[in-house]
This record gives sequence, C-alpha cells and structure tokens, in this order.
Amino acid sequence: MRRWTVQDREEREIYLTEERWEHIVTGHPELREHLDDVLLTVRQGHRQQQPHDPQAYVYRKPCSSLRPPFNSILVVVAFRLQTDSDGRWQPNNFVITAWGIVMRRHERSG
Amino acid sequence: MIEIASTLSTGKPVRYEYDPEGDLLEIVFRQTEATAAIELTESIILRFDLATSEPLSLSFIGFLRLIKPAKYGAPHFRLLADEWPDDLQGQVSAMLDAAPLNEFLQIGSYIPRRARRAIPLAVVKQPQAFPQFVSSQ
Repeated sequence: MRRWTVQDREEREIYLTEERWEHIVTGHPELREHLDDVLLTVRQGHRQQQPHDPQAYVYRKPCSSLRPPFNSILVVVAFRLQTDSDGRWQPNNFVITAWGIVMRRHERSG
Repeated sequence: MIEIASTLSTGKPVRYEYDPEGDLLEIVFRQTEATAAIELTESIILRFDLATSEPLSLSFIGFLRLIKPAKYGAPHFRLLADEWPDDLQGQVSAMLDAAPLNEFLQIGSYIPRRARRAIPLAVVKQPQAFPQFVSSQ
C-alpha cells in the first residue's frame, strides 16, 4: 500500500496512506482530482489545534482549482506517538480526512 | 472503520461512519459529490447540494470529546456564521432548522452582557443511534 509523506511549514513529517485517500475520495468525491492540493495544504497551510482534541490539528489553505464555490481545502491531521523497534517514542502524524470547503475569507487559511 | 446503517425519524436511511483511530464521525445522508461544504463550527463540517439545499453529510472532528458532558451539561459550540459567504447564510440557516440536520444539532444563541449581537451556538443532540454507536467503542 502506497503512502505519501510531506512536511508541514514547521517540518513536521505527516503521511497520508493510499487506504485513507481512497476513503476520502469515496466519501468526498469532489476531491478526487485534488490529491496534490490536499498534500499542498498540509505542506503550506495554516495549522490550528482542535479546541477539544489537543492531538488533532486542522490545516487550511485556499485552493483555486476546485470547482466553485469551493475555494479552500481543509485537512485534519492526527498527531500521535508510537514506539520504534528499540522502544523509543517516535512521531506518528497522519492525515485523517480532508474536505473542499467554501469560506468567506481566506485569512484563516494562511 | 465502524459503519452503522440506521433510519432517520423521517424514514430516510442514514449511515454512520466512525473512524476510531482519528475519532472522526461522519453521518452520511446520501453518498454523492457535494457542490458546497462549510465549517459549521471549528469541529463540525457540513457537505451539501448547493442547488437543492440537500444535506449530504455531517462530520464531527474529535467526536467523543464533542459529546462528552461538561460541568453544566452538553457543551455548546460557536457557529462560524461570520465565515459563511453572504449568499449561503440563509441557505445554511434553513438547513440547520430542518430535517435531517435538526435531528443531530440544536441551534441557539448566547447574548453576553452589553453585547451588540447574539453569538450563534450549536449543541450536538443525542439521537437514538448515538448510544449504540458510542457503546461499541
């Protein structure tokens, strides 16, 4: 199973598995042609911690290639830890899901 | 992924898709391509058909935390109405007041002292399917 790994603006490594991408576009087919835009949102988007889940962050970024009135992409990323083969804790940050959204302003999208 | 098929009070089918790893719940009313979607709150996303005002899915980020009772009861969340485009404001408000969304969300407002206007709020209701769903965790 493939997976794509990118770094956000502060060099945190985040991955998206092919399995999750297939689930995203099955549920949100409006994103089917926008894998690169979703990954770009994680690379360059504005990051905001979820108010009720300190291990979940939302990345937002304007996207002009979506079909109007969609104008932005929102990606939810889980920030977890896992142990490696030596028992050391390592980051395990992965995309949970993504949406195309319509926003009035783009300031929040970074 | 946990999927539970159920029925709304209107008799229409609904499907609950819960991702326990990401604590994400998506309530799917009809699986098709959306023509618009907005952030109702910082943690609740609505996808819908722009032409017909048909809600297609309602997603809850950090679902189990969202429904966890607070000291004074069910937590309320600020609607991000100021961030919805002007031409969608009325349409979204009408959808929130009608089925199926009003089976899952209750809308209210908070008026702080000396405030110029009310703050719109949403609270997650507890429909019959939720306890069955949550108890499976």
